[in-house]
Amino acid sequence: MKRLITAFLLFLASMAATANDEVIGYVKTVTGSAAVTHAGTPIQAVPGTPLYMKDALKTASNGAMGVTFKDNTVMSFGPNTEITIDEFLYAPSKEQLSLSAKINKGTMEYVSGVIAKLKPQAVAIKTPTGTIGVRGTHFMVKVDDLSESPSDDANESAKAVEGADTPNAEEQSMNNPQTPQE
Amino acid sequence: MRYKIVTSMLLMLMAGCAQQPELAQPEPRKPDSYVVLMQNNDGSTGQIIVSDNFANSTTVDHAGLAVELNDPAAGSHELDKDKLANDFKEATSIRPPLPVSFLLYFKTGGTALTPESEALVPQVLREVENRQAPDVSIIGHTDTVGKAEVNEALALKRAQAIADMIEQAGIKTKDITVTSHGERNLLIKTADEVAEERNRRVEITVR
Repeated sequence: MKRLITAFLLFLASMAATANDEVIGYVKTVTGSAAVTHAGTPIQAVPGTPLYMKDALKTASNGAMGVTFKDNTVMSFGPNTEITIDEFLYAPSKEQLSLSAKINKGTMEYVSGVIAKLKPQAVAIKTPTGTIGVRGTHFMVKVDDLSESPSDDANESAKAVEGADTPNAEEQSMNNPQTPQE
Repeated sequence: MRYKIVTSMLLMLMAGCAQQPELAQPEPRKPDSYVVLMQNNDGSTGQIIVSDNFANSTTVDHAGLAVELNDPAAGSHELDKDKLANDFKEATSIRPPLPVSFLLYFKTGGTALTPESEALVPQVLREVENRQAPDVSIIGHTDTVGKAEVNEALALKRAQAIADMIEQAGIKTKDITVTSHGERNLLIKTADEVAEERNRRVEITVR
């Protein structure tokens, strides 16, 4: 059964990979620790790491990263940032133009590219509480993550690694940053 | 007796400990989530429309104005410049150089650049060379003299000639995308069979 599930997951992953095999941009700048997750596999981001539709981008508490898309859209991220590139279609001759991304937490500077110029209504930057519509422009967005206290950054990676297991109640309360020690 | 007091103190302490998480629940922190419109590189300012999930929205078209993401209905407000600089210092300092575009023009009928454009080539090469992990797109164009199919091929040759130039200069790129718009995308609108030097061009974008 376990093997079947694994095979199924691999099948899903390969489907995702073939559906999104076109490079939509590149990581251009990185400091500290930053990762790009493609088809479920996170890799350390370096200048030149390719980006594909559906990729998830993440910076650690010491990390920052800048990316440039094929339509000249430029995004840069400060520390503790998580964003997914949900849709990127850039084929002006086929009138396929769309850019949709969701920033779950952190900070981003955004400079719009050709998609926003040709079809402004096709660009949406989502946040946990809503949407930012873009009309050919430059903005900065900060999404405050209330689920962590600002000092909890160090625990982040550890938590991510443990993520597969369901922690028991005791561990949960120990990990809860809002539980005072005294 | 003494033991009894100690025990009861311990019990009280334990009870206290068990209750403490409840008592010590901090006031819910107000989220510091906002978006702020900035001026474009060319001095113009665009527009953002900030909406929540209940279709409340605010439109901003003045640089420097911010909207709280959790309450767009409240409208926009000025944002403290020091706070802005501090919140985005890492994101701003890591921002990649913005893409740059060049137009190079050709003599009629072939892939030879005009002397003016030939003189620009070193600047184009430098721009590619100076970037980290550069990727380049090159779109070739022609004027409307000749058959559309022939122009489609000629425009591709022009674009390819520039790509070869970058490669022959030994400059490493992540990728160079070469496409042809033939005579379909005129810079200067003309009738068919019109020689127009400004239409015989390639458009190079360096990212």
